[in-house]
Amino acid sequence: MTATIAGQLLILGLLLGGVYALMSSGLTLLFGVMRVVNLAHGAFIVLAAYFSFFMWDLIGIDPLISMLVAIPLFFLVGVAIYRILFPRIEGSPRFTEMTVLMTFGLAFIAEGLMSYYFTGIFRSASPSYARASFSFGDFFVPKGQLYAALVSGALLVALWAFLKFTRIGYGVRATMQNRDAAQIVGVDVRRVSTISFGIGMALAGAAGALISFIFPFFPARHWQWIAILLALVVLGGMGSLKGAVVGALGLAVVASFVSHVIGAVWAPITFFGALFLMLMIRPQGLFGQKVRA
Amino acid sequence: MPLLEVSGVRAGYGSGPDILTDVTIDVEEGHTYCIIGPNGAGKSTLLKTIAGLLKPRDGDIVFEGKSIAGKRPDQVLEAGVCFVPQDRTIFPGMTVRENLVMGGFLIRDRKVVDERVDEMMERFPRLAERSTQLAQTMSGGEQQMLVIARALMIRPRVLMIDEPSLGLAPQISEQIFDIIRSLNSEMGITVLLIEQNVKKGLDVADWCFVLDLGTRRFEGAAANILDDPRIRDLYLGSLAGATADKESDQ
Repeated sequence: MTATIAGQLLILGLLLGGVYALMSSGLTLLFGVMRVVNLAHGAFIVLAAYFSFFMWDLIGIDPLISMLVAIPLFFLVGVAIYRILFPRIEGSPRFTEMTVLMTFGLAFIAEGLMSYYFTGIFRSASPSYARASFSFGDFFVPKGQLYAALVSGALLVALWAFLKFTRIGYGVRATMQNRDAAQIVGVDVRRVSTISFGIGMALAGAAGALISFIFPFFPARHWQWIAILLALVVLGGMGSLKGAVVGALGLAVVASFVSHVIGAVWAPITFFGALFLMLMIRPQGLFGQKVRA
Repeated sequence: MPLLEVSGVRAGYGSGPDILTDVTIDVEEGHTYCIIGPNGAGKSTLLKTIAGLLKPRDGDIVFEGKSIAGKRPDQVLEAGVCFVPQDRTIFPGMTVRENLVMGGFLIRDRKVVDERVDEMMERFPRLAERSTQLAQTMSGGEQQMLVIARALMIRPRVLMIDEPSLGLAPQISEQIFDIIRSLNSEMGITVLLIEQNVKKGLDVADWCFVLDLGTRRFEGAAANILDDPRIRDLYLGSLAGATADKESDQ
């Protein structure tokens, strides 16, 4: 492998990793704040991708613009879903397990409705930049993926700043670290959970908008994504945003090399292979905390 | 009028049985109270219910003339009743300073929060030394100190502390008891204390509630409650022995 090819693979891996990081950030946030494993995260990303696709296909609005609607819209959908579904299982000693079942069902419902209304054919929004690329010397950088990675990076920085500098952000971080202690110091944990669920969904909304022009998608595609995202989130340490970002960037780069050296069909194995290794060596993940059983 | 009145409170966890069957206690301002009783008597459950972490199934809790029964923990805290649970609930990945800042979460004015953090650093020099250290790297005694200092950030009227000396070496728990004494004598905070080391707890307190099977059986002046034959026979026979064992373990 020449240095040029290696550099090219690194660029493509990092661009893809940026988008994966955004996709998994919502998932890890929900687990960190409220111990919810949201198996429907991928399905909502696909739903958001359809939203962007139809905005583009029917009205001609660029996905990067319609995103400004998708983000608040998905935030509200998240708040509504949380308010309707979660109070029933809150306080259950098997809360996390129940969220797995509940969101699994939610994913099926979302997939079924999308298949019924949007059919199973591959879709992809096609703004002009989706098929164009820049070239820097020997390297080429696909425009669509570059834009998607830049937007992902910007949103992740915004999320980080929100968590680090706002009062609600402090409340969210405190709840992630120690839910009991957060309650003790006066954080309204339920309100923080509702807002976090909304933010998780808003992140899915943003990720879907980006997905809509970089990957062809169809309703059942979300299973493949949620599998990869769960691998990334566990690898980074469940509930650790830093872990999700590092895991996503690292593994996407490795996957892009695997795909070039061994073959494209082996790329997904990278994620699951890394997951198995991590679980054997360091079960709490890169930046995760050990949890008492 | 008592500062805090708990009357006929019944409470339990989830859909489980009643842990508190019928608890009535009056707490006067400016005193230190110790709650004693055998394991499973409902001591922690009582404090959790007052703190709003559990909703009472029956009865009322009145603080300064207003009912706080069934209010959220943050609302109870805002009213001035603060709870320090027994497992030293720190924020492990935050620094000592950030932990204190979180203690002032309900204070919206960041300037006031910073002033009070400085105040706490002055009061607890040990915390000042460790201010940029992650809370999880501190010893058990320091963590207990941090949790109490964090609770003081909102200047509570009533501070409820559950088993502050649990798992601490004797000299360290002595320091914690000194701090608890000063809360009352220097800051005028009304203290409700649960303590496994009954003699120590009674030493700090001036009044004592005896809980058993989810209800308040007796109460009396802390100084001579150990001499009360009813209490000695009914509750402290086994407890006093167990306490002596625990002390020799450490």
